Amino acid sequence: MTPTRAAGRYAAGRDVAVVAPWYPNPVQEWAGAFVQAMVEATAPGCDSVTVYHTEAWWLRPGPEYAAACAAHRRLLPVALRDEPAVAGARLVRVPVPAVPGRTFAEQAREHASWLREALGGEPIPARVVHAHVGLRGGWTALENARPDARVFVTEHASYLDQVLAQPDSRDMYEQVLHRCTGFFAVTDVLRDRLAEAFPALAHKIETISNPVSFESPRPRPVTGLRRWLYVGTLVERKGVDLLLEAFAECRAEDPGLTLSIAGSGELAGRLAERAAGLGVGRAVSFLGAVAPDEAARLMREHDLLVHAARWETFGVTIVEAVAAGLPVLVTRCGGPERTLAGIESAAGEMIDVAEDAASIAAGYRRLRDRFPDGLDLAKAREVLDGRFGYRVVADVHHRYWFPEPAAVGADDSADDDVPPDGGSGT
Amino acid sequence: MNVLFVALGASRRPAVIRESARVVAERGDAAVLIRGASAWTGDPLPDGVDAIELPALERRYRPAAIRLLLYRIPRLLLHVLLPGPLRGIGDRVDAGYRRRVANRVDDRLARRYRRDRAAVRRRVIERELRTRSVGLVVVADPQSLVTVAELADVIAGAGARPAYSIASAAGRPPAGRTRG
Repeated sequence: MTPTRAAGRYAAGRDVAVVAPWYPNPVQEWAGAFVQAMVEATAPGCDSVTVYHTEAWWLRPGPEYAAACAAHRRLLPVALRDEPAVAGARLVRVPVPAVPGRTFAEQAREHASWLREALGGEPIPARVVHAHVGLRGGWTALENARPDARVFVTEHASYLDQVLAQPDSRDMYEQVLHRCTGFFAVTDVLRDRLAEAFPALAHKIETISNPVSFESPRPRPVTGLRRWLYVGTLVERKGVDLLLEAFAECRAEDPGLTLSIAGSGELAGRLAERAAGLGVGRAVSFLGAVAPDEAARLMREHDLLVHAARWETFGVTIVEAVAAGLPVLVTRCGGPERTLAGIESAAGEMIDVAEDAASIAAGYRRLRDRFPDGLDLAKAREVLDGRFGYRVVADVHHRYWFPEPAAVGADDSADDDVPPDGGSGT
Repeated sequence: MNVLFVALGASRRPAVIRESARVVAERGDAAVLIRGASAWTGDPLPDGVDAIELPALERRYRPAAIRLLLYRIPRLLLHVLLPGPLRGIGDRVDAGYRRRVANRVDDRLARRYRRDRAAVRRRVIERELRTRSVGLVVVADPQSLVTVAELADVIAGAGARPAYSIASAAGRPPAGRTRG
């Protein structure tokens, strides 16, 4: 295929499309930050990258929804344009009129249908499609990819059990696994869960972590563990209530401690009341949800990241904290003990998941007592860069995406003969 | 660029606030078409961004002929007949005329010229687009899709373009849409 022809219909050899239901946007600047990071990491080395962000726009069910869909269909041809994104990529935001209460499979069909509408019924031109999350990303990509495209799916979802609990969504998930060229989970925890649910397709699921930027370390090293930071959603699963209680307990011993909580969620109001009730209202700052850049800045300006989640598939903020030169106090909640394997003591302190604040406070005291000599943040950073840095993660993806770089680059005329399964990828 | 955000559902307020602030920061003119101010009390629009209430805009609408014959010409006549120090008397007469005559006649005529609500909406929006020299009309929430779709020809006629965000103002249609 020549570039001229590619511009008309199909894309050139190393053009990549990304399909995701999340991407940082003006409503939620932090949503899908990992998709953006993946694009930023993998775009270098590709000819072009186009991100298709199918974005749910929520409506009430009924006549209003039907009318909005009809109007949207008329507007798309004139209103939809792409925009610049990170690392030279282009971003196409496709609004998806959505109503609550639908299963993940039903939502995936809507996302797929609206992307098809956005593309004027044509397939995605790129020969490599990388989708994020199994159904709204994976199914949408498979339904819109050109017949000879190589479609890869990365699963990140912490709500995977909810997806698999819905019979239609589980069936669709199995189809996605079957049809895609390669399937990646960002942690072994997720991989194992999927392998357990779909044993016949377990051989197809690989683990490739999310990429983390190690480009911006803090200007001065941490000298004391007094400014605590939490970054994440404010929901029960994240253990923020226990973290708050542990902070109050530790602050009783050291009144100089402060805690910044960056995130939003259903517990926000209750946590503020609880902080006041514990007598630490003035020492706790609720910053609300912050954009990824702001989170990185906060990490460079605090002394300790505390993450007391009950369950976490990956825990990207923990890796980001180490990348920013911040020690971490973190629970063994699934993802972190794997991401920090071998450098637990160098990066900070790990604690068991327990239903009381005392274990977090005890973990803090152990960490404080061996800080700074008992830690090796530089080593932790170096090891994690080797595991999750942009270049490492991008290289792995590129090896799957472009298995025969010489042949692809030398003779694009043979490209149309590439079999749908690409002959590789798993 | 001058931008009109259509946000009748107020369901994506953070996007409207961030994008309209960006327009103003880039020395453009930003206005937001809303259904009512109450939905925005918790999330006020940035300084320099105009909120336009669509129902009020439609209520205030009068065809050009009505405005001219019922209001402007009588006012002009009073100014000519009662110049200089008599201007105050002229203003009082004009106010009385509007209250007792013009508004009552207008009320009766309004039953006819407001009967076609879609036409009224088209005219007020067209006037707003032209007055503000709007180049981009952003559909800011799903509740505004129907209104913007109904106004697509008015928007195009006023030299503007619909979009889903300001970031795509200089963008290209996605592949598949580029081949006519």
